Amino acid sequence: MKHKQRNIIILVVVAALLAVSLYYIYPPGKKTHLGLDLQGGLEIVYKAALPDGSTPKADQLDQAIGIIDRRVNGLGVTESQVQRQGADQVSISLPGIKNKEQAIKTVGQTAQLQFFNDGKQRVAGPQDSVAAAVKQAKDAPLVPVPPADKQEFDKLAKGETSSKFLTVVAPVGKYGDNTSPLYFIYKLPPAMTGSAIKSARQGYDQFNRPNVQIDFTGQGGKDFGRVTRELATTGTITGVPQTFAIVLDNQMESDPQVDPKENPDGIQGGQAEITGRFTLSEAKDLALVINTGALPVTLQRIESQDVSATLGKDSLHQALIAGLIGLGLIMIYMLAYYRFLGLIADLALVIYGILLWGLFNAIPVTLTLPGIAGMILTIGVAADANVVIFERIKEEVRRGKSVRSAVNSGYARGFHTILDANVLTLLTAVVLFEFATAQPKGFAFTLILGVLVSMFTAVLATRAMLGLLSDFAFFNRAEFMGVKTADIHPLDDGAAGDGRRRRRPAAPSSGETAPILSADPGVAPSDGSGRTTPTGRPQSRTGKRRSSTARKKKR
Amino acid sequence: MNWFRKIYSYDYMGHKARWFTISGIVIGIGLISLFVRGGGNPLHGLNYGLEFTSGTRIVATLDRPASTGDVRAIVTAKGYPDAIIQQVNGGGAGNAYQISVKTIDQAQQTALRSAIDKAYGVRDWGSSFVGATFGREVISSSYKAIVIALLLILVYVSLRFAWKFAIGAIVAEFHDLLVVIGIYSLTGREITTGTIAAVLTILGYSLYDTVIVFDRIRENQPRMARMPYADMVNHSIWQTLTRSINTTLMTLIPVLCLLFFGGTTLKDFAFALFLGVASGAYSSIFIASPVVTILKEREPQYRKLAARAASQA
Repeated sequence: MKHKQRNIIILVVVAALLAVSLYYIYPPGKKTHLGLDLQGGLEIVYKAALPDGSTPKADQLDQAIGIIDRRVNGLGVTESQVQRQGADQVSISLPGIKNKEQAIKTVGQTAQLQFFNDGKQRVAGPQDSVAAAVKQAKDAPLVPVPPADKQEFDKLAKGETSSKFLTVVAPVGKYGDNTSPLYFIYKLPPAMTGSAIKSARQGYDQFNRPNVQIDFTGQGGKDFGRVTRELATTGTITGVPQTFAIVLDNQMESDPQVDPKENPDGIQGGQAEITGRFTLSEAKDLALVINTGALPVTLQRIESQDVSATLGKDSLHQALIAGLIGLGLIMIYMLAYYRFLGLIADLALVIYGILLWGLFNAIPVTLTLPGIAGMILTIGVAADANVVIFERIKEEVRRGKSVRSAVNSGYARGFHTILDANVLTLLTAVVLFEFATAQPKGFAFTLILGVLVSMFTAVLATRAMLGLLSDFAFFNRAEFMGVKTADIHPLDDGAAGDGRRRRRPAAPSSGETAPILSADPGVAPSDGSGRTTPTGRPQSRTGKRRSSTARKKKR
Repeated sequence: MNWFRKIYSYDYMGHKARWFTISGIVIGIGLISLFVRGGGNPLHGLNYGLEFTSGTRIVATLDRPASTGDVRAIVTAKGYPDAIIQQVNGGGAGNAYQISVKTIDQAQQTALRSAIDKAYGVRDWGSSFVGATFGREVISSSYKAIVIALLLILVYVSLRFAWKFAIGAIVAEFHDLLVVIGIYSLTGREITTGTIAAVLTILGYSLYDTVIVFDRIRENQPRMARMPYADMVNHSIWQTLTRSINTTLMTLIPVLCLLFFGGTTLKDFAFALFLGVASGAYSSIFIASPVVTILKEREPQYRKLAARAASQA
């Protein structure tokens, strides 16, 4: 009765898992996370690189992801996701987003925030054109320029980038009250970059005017303190307040001054305020720019997918129909071919479906189209396990074993085959998961989960069910296993081979197969006749067996 | 149904040369196609999809009927004469077109959309873009994945069975791979990331039937120790044929459902799976088992048994 206890425990566990799964599933459709390809939306994959083209370090990439996350949150899309992918990729998914163009622009701008010390780094400007700025830089630079670097200005004149200098344009209203764009040339590298900034927000000064408040990172605060101290000192000496430029992607966003009277020792403490004649929205914009611009890497869009909601719904619909038809056909086949055993297998398949669905919702796994394909495929894998076991059971019954011991040895022997076969499937699924990019990854993941869950339902659960049933006397019938009484040939393994050891069953035309095989423990010909009538008509089956024997005798 | 009964008594090992030849011809045709289409380089003999090259792909569902030519006219007028236009069943309307162009930005896409909208009314618009670096990465990581998967299979089968069985399994895997690749080259079907996923799945799954047969061979080996190896393998195949057929069917049913009822994306994926599962079922019997037999029959004990059987025949 030890087996009985174990079987009952397994079934109780199955029932409990079913209840938990149903809890996670109900109400259906609400709790399942659908991927972009099923609910519509925008997905973009970026490759991140440092400004010099090299691969960013892990912490730099994480920082960039944090910043992109902030940008994405600013778009107000619920369930948006920003994920790291591989060593240098960032994938962004924006389900159900409407304004895709703006989203791509906001998220994907390769914004590089830079701070320049105007007194020490501005080579030329303000000028009305790049050419004028280059001319000034060549003829009368505002700060000393090493002669060797002078040829770099020609690059700037041609609109090319240089590693020594940067052309910066101040759009209307960004430099004092300029009414036309103004051009500057700054010396690289910048005094600070956006990575110094923890966050920026719009706030109010003591006169209740909108301003921008900045929090620096630890190191950023120190750098900012050093830069502003220099500015304040120069300001005190010259009597002219010094300014620094905030530049985002070659564009001057602000050029605030450091008041030497207010801050004779620079701005220390890791916090700063930019005050000015900001309107509320200008202050907000600048805060956003500083926030989002603090990206330590450049982003290159390498992949994007834009799926409309209708197309997504259609795909989901088609996949579900395909899955249900597949499941239905498999269940019909199993029932027709394995009769009562098939019924148990079908029950296990339904349990499998519910457990897998519940597991998906519980983890939760975002269900994508390839993921559904994986699920549908694993229905077949789950049924495979039952086929292997049931064929074993049938074999044992044909050899004259009782149903009960046939069930036991069928599972014991079939399990090794299933294990080996499934381990091989799992191995490749894991390799696929490791190496694949986003879409096949989803498929691999469902395949892995599906194979594991199917081992549980198709092997353990069906075994418990059959084990319990086989304790009942009425159950000890070969027909229940889909075996005809006529096919049962009790024999012991030792004698099995004797009759045909010396014969070579070479050509099928030799016709000697029937006696050989019926003597064999595998009893293949009854397998064969069984196969010809999957719907199971005993008469035709015996008929065929006879005719084959007759044919053999003629020869 | 006579032939159906015959497969339970057919001398698979005795006719291995015939089936090797057939496989060889199928693979040979595929290889020739790869070379011819690739202009001498077999790696170029496949129709790599968007993910491997680069560009923008748009799927537009239209309100008013339009032919491929109509859509092409507009796309050409907008300055993309090289665009590939194909009719697809997307959006359920049957009036959907896939437009593949070189990389275009969002503004250009909007312009194209409004031009098509003006003429035929755009009901639905989806697009995907893939950069060139991405495609190269996908290709290189796919090759890596396939090699690693094959090595793992080799190790696992060697550990669980024996190295001779592992060789049989790997030869069968190569057979399946080459058959699938060859058919893809012949039909000019597009290779997508889904195809790669399917191929890797096949590598694992196509061994299901092989494991079933190998398992039985391993079991029969001591039990039928005095029988020539080839005969013993034949018996093993006959004994397990039903489950091989049924497991293959159980997998082909959902795969065929995906192929017939799934959307465009799933169809591509299912096609590769279908080829792989079918080829895997075939190769477990006609490739993997004969290879094991050939290797095993070189062992002195089995050579003797085979010689004795031959002299008595």
